[in-house]
Amino acid sequence: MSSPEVDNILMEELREGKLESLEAIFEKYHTRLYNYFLKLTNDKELSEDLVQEVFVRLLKYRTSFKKKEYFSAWIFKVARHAFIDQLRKKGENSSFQFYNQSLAAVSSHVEPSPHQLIEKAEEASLLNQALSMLPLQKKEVLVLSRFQHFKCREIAEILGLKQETVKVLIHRAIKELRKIYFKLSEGEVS
Amino acid sequence: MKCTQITPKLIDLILGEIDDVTRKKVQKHLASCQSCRQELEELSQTWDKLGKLPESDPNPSLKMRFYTLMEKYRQNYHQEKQNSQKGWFFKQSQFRQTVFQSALVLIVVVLSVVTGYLYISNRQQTQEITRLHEKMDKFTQAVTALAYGEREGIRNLEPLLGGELAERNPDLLQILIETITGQDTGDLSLSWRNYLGLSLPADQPPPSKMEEDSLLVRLFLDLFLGSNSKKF
Repeated sequence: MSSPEVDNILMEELREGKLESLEAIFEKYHTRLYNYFLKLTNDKELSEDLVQEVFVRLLKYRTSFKKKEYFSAWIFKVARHAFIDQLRKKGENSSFQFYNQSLAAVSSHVEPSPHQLIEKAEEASLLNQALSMLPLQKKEVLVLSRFQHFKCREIAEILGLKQETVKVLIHRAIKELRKIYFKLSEGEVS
Repeated sequence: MKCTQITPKLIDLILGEIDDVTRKKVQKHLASCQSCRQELEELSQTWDKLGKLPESDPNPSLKMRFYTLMEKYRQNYHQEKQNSQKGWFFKQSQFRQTVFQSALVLIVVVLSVVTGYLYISNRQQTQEITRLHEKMDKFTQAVTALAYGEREGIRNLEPLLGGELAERNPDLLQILIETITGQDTGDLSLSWRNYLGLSLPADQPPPSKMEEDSLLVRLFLDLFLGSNSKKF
């Protein structure tokens, strides 16, 4: 049985009141969701709050899930709404503080060489910073495609856009990110 | 293919969402177009860099928070389930209570109507009987007075029965009054006394059968008492 089928079965069980199914969904998705929020907000605590909020909403709106839907896209749609509601609560889009991921945090995922370690960590830090400076829509398409590995069709479904629009947005987002990254690395942007 | 046609396909190439035919066309173009190659290279570099960004693990407290939430939700869920069942039972018993109360009210109303009807009917009957008794008493008194020879008793008898008799048969009433007042009422007196169960005077012989059945007596009884004469 494929993963989407398993997801749909779990969701169906949850709809029928089997709460254990939500625990299985949590185990499968909470890290993905956390990273999705972390990329968008650069705020660990807020990302955890948002993950919690997604599962509260899953319980609340479990009956609105339709069997024909692709669960993975559906849960990220719920996540996106939670994120947008959070933005509205904050009052503005750009109020999130830049999250400068610490060198130590990044270092656990790179090569052990001290020089490379610092280089990679700096690069990752700059890239994260550049990503956080992208306009929200471009940031969303990049996070969903590059980090959550959704296809353009699924991103279009999550964001409520046309597939072609998503492709154009991804193209522009990569180009803009590159521009910001080089500006940051050259010290042009503080 | 022109560069403007190729550029949108570069993203398809990077995302791996491109069919073989288009891929070959794009690759053919890239082989001869430095500008598009450059574009693809820049896009790919950034794309690859992004791919190397590490994924972070959430704090273990996130799991704890989730399972605490689930526990609370479970408790509330069971509580709500119980409440909804209680609610259903309450609604059922309330429904039953309403039906019972309605039935009770209906029974009370029906009983009240029936009792009222019987009471009024009975009261009307009682009143009618009382009125008849009063009438008969007055009539008996008047006739008894006549039977004892008090001829002026006819004045009491006439208003008492005149209305009904006059309506029924005014001529007959006149004949009756004249007969009573004009005749020797000896036999009549005795017949009435006998009929009313009064004791006969000691010096008077009992009335003969003929006297009891005399035309005057029968006429009198039929006119005044009608079919109820036997009951009386």
